[in-house]
Amino acid sequence: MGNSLDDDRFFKVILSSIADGVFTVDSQRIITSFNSAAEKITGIPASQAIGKRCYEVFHADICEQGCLLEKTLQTGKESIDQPVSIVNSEGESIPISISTSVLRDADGQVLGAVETFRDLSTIEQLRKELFKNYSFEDIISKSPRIHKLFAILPDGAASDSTVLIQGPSGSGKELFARAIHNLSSRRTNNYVVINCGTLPVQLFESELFGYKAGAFTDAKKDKSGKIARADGGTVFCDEIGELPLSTQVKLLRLLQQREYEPLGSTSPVSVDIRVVVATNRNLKDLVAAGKFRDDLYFRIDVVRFDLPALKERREDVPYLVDHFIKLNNARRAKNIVSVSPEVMDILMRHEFAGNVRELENIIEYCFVVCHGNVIGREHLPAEIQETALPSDDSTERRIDPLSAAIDERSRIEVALKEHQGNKTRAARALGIDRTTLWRRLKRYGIGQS
Amino acid sequence: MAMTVAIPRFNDLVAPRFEVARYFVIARIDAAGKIERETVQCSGCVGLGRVQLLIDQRVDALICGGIRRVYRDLLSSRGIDVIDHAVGTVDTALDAYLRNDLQKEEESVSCLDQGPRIPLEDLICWTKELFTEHGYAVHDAADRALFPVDLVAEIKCPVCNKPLRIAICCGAHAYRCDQEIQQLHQVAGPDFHARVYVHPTTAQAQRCCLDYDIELLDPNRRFTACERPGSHRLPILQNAIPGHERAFARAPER
Repeated sequence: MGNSLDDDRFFKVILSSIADGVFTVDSQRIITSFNSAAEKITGIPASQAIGKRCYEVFHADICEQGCLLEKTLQTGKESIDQPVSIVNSEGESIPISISTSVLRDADGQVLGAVETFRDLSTIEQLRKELFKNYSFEDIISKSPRIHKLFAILPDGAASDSTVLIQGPSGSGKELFARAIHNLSSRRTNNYVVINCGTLPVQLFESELFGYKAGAFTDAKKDKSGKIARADGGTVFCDEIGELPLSTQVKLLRLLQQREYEPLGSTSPVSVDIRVVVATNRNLKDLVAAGKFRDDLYFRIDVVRFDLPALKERREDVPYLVDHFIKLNNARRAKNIVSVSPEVMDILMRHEFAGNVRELENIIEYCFVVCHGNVIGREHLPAEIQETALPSDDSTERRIDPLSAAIDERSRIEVALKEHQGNKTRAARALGIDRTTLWRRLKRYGIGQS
Repeated sequence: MAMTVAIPRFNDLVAPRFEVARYFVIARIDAAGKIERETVQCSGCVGLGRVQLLIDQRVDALICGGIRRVYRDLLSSRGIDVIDHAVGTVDTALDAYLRNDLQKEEESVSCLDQGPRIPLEDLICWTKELFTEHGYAVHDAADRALFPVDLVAEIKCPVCNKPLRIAICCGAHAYRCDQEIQQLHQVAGPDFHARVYVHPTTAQAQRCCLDYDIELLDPNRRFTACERPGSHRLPILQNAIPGHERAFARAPER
């Protein structure tokens, strides 16, 4: 390292090659340098960040109270690995851990401070998956229909009334149920899930209400049920439409009187629970068919959320695709950037019988077979490729190639003639870009003689 | 027209984060333009509580710093205009908004308007020929680590004769050009003197290229005679390369 110019370049190369975000500020907390990883994590280019105050760029939850850089500048003390959340350029909350240190010149005078930060999104995402700790903020949607539901979510959550969530499989019913619990005053207490579709009739009562010692063979001591565990919290009864009639009456009693009798007990037990139920079936139809008790239906249909199928909110597909790409990059340590425009077209047209879960599975499959940075049509599961509705392009491809070529050549010639050889206008008339027209002209040798 | 504007406040400034701001300034502007301000304390109130507060206050617009997308979308769905990433004092932000100088951030993602779609192979073929015709030596970027760089063009500076390397990405790999541009910026580092993104001009492509100092090359642009080989003007490129500014001097019109 000979002179300061070389030193400067040398340090810039080092800073741009490390995975942690690094930036420096002067004594007024104005950003003076911003490395490549900082750009990547915040989504803000260095050209925009440099010259701004750090809080104008990071929007961290500690900017107002407890800014660590300010503390470091004031006291000269460093801080290490402090968890913080920032908001990136797209409005996503990014958990990071930050370390700060003061910068001094050769005479020991404070020049400013340096902050390094590490993106913890992957760890946080995996933690959420592991503990199923999703919140309202994790629901990804741009759909006006979902936003209408968002708008009533706080009131619905605060009311303590029984909530019915209806929607097809994979539409996010459990996410809404968790959001209701997390937004309610019961959020510090238990959230207990009961899958009514998988619970055998014989076990329903003992699982839910527990039993007393001696209630049946092998019942050697008292065992509390799920309802007791949810006391003070929320019970989420999934797939309530699958509940047999014989057990529906027991649930009805619980909802009406907020009390139950453990098996083998002679006295009822009171319980303080909030009940959220979900189904992918139309309960009204089940009532009409005599498969669901009408008194239970009216007891649970107090606050209702009807979740739309994914095909009814196609505008969410790109956001969900982005989300699942990020999720799978974290799970599989890959670096897939995006899907190709063609894949997005296919996904935007797909019916998604399995809703968001199906989209998640498709992206997961693509991650297994894609070894590049962009998911292409060839990476999609075969059945998606086959069932993809034909686009204008693919219709063209199915036609006999020779006649299609002759047809295309003559269409181009006619378009050029009609527009006196003006390629821009001819391309517009043909519905293709000028670049594509140029390539077709080359292919067919038009206008080259 | 009478309206109500909310601004989260931190000292005199627009608070950096909507979800944790302790105070909100609620400014009510009557039809005559008279402004009445009130400060509402908000500490201890979670994100959705803040949304409810703004709804209860019948706010028409929120000017804030950072805000999570979910709250921004929720407020928008309730008819509240959200202007985020605002900086400066509360007073200047409010003045600018009332003067119509604060614009809403454009959506970064739109699946419906991605500009004209050009097949990638067409774009690569066209770009390769364009650069070759203008005197560049062009080869495919074989290194996968360089994704999304498709082509590397090399030429000697017409003024100083030093070799110049240009990374070219033909923007048709991914459905979001902002992601592609950011990726190009990440991989095409100091080894390259210039980075070029080939894509039809859209507002998003223009803004992203400007942000990352990448030249946007529109395949529909016309190339003038002064860019032809043999002149002292570096062909095709329009953004001056640092240290080679003289190669970008405008040639006299014939």
